[in-house]
Amino acid sequence: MEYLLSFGLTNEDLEKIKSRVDDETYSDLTLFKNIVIKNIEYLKEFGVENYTQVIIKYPEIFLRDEGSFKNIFSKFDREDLINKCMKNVAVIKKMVEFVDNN
Amino acid sequence: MERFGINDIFNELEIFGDFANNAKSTIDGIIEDINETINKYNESIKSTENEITENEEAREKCKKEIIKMKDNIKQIHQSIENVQKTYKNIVDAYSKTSEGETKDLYSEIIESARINCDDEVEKCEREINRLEDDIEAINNNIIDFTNVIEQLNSSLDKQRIELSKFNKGLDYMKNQYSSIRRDLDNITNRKDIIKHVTRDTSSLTTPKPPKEKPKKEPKKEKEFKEEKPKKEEKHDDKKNSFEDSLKQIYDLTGYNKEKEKKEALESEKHLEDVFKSQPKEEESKSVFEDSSELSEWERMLNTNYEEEQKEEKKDEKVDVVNSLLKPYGTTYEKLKSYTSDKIEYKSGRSIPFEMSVEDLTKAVNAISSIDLKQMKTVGPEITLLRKVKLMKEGSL
Repeated sequence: MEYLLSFGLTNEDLEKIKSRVDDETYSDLTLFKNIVIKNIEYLKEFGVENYTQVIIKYPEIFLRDEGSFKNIFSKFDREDLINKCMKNVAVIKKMVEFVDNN
Repeated sequence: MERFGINDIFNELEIFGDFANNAKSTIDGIIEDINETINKYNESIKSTENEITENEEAREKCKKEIIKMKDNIKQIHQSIENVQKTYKNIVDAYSKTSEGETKDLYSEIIESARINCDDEVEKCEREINRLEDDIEAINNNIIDFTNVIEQLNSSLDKQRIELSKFNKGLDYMKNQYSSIRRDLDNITNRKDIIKHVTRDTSSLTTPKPPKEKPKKEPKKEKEFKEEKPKKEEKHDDKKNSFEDSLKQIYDLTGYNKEKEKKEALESEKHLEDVFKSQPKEEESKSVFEDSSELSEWERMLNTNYEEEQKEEKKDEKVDVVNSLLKPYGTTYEKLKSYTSDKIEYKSGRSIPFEMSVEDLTKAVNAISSIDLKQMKTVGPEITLLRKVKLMKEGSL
């Protein structure tokens, strides 16, 4: 998971992720690193400034196809979403759950 | 007659003397009994006082506990207020903005916040009820402690009254007894004066001279000096003269070093002349006029036939798996590029990962309805990759 350090995360953050996720998600994050990297880069480009917080709190949301990931963000009002995310990153998780369930 | 009269007086004195002694011992016994009773009362008062202190401390603890619990209740009320305030903020923030999908998402967020808020408030209220019940129980304990303390205090008062009665009795007895004792002592003394003429004197004792303490002699420490053994130095006086020995051998065998060198040089020169005289090789002319044709031939000559066959077979397999992957909008190469070369686990263990065409073919052929459902949410590529991973791990 060292590749996440290049996104500004610290070793402490990596430990937090490790403690939060189950073993399967952790191994997925290490193996499918190029998918995760693409999705993080998209989130960054989208304008979510506190994207590192999203990675630390909800790393599992990056384990999806690039197209599927972009599709989630295309459904919502960009500016509003960025503002909401700045206040509370939980909105991203809610958003993913909302799209998956509908 | 006279003698008989003296005996009577002695008998009377004896009777009075006995009476006086009996009276003294009886009075001493009474005083002793009173003292014992007083001691018992003092002990009992002390233990009652301790009991009162313990009960008072327990009651104080209960009071402090109630104060803490009341503080907790206040904090919980504050938490309820905060939760409700947060919910209100969420409602304010998410109800104004956006349309369509975003509006639906926000409605869901508001609903979820409302449920959370209600749950939290309910939890807090349950906690408050529990604390209030506890406070009531502790208040009952305080009442019990107070009753016990009151009873102990009343018992203590009674014991103190009794004690003061006995003390007064003792004082009265002592006062009375001091005058009675004088009279009784007079009676016994008079009797003793008449009866005894001589008195024994106490023996004298001489103090023993103090024992002299034996003087300890200080221990003498012996000093040892170690003598180091002397090393004898040996010198090897022999010197080998290799050159001299070699010269002696050459002389004996008739070997001439200079001559040998000269002969070797001549032989070398002769061989060089022989090679120089040989005709030069003609430059090979290329039979291939076109350079691409040449490179093709070179490739053919350099490539192992079996390897080529293998490559061809692999390409065929890749084509097959790519055709299988076509409905999922991906290729073998693309999927391969997404993966790392190892899987790491939380335990720190890591295993190498290499996805072959066969692995992927197996995964595609094993796609289930659950996988299809997964593909709808997270996408087909990661679903297929996860399937390969699970197969490799032996989980499927």
